[in-house]
Amino acid sequence: MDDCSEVRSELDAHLRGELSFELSAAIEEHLNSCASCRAESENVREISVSVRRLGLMLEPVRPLVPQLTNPRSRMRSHVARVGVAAALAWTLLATAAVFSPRLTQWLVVFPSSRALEENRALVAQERRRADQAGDEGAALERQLTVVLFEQLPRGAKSALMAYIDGVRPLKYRSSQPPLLAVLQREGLGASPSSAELSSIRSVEHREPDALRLHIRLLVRFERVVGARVVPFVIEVSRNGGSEWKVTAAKREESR
Amino acid sequence: MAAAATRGDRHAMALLIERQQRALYASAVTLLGSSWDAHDAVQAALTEACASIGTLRDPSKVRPWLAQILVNKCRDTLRDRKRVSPVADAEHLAEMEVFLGSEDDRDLREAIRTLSEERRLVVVLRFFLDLNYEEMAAVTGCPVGTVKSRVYRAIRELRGQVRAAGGSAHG
Repeated sequence: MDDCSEVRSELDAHLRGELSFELSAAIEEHLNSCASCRAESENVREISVSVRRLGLMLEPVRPLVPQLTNPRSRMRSHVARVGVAAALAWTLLATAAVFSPRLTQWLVVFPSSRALEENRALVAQERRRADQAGDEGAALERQLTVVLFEQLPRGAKSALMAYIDGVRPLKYRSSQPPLLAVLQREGLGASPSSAELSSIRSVEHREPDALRLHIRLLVRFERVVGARVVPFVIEVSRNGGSEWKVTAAKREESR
Repeated sequence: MAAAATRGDRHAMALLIERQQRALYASAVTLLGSSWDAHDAVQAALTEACASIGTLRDPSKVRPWLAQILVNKCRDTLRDRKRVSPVADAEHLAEMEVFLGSEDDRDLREAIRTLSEERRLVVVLRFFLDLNYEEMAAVTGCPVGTVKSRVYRAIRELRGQVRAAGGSAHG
């Protein structure tokens, strides 16, 4: 190999040992006879080491993903779980608030980790039941399309969708205005108090097709309105791609 | 681990994410010039990755697969901005991160930020995300030879800029 420019564009791969034996040998031979390329090889090595080291220095102040997977770290796991629960609760409140001004009177408490565990059991139970009964959600009446979801900060969407997908490690970290600001912008008041909500009852996945391109989620929860406990259901859908929309929200029949 | 994740093992997926998140963030912040946007891009990428990990046929390709998703998210962000400003000012960058590097590291970082978009992309793919040239070619949609020459030119440009910055600082 005699062409210096050809050799130089291979130097990085050569230094990383990614080339074939023959090509590497040819480059070594060239470097032995060409002082200029030898110096260039050293430059490439230095810069690539420096850039690689630089990559290790770039990290955000706050972790992007809480470390949930270490079984020894129960506290971290708990904190992250509560974070997701809080994000979910806020998202639900902000989303539901659009279709009912009465939400201003609704009271919210974030589900405890125990409640979430119970919810998961309920989810599993509902999924089994749905599997047996077929697509019972097809009868869901679409009374109102809620558009607020699309206006939510991307981080909040991520948190909700991560929850939906059952991948809890993703935690709500938004660089956008927090959901509280969204609530305030919508004139829905300040942070709700703990006496005000009944909890989220279940989150149910529906995957009409095997490829998971079309996924519907039914979020069931109850709220105290006046002296009554009113069950609600919100439907979130994804039709291909990664975009999710809240496609329906309604009060369920009183039981 | 990647193989387990593709089979739906959530624990394996979470581990995978934990191991990749730093490199993904470093890449996103370098491509976008904004730590805020980088956070959003990485979260969006990880969310998509979690949702579609089952479609990854070859678990050994998980890194280029994640890189492709992240690059797409970064491109979306740049498109959303409606203005080409991949190079943000230092104050903006300082908002959400701590940079503990030396002066030389800062010079190098500054030099990377002034690279053209296509050179910055190959630098990120090669040195932050650790892809090989075939994988980089797949992500960028360019032939391997083009990617190799782009990386070399980027390195040469970086070296020139770092030397100039070091010279002016000491001279």
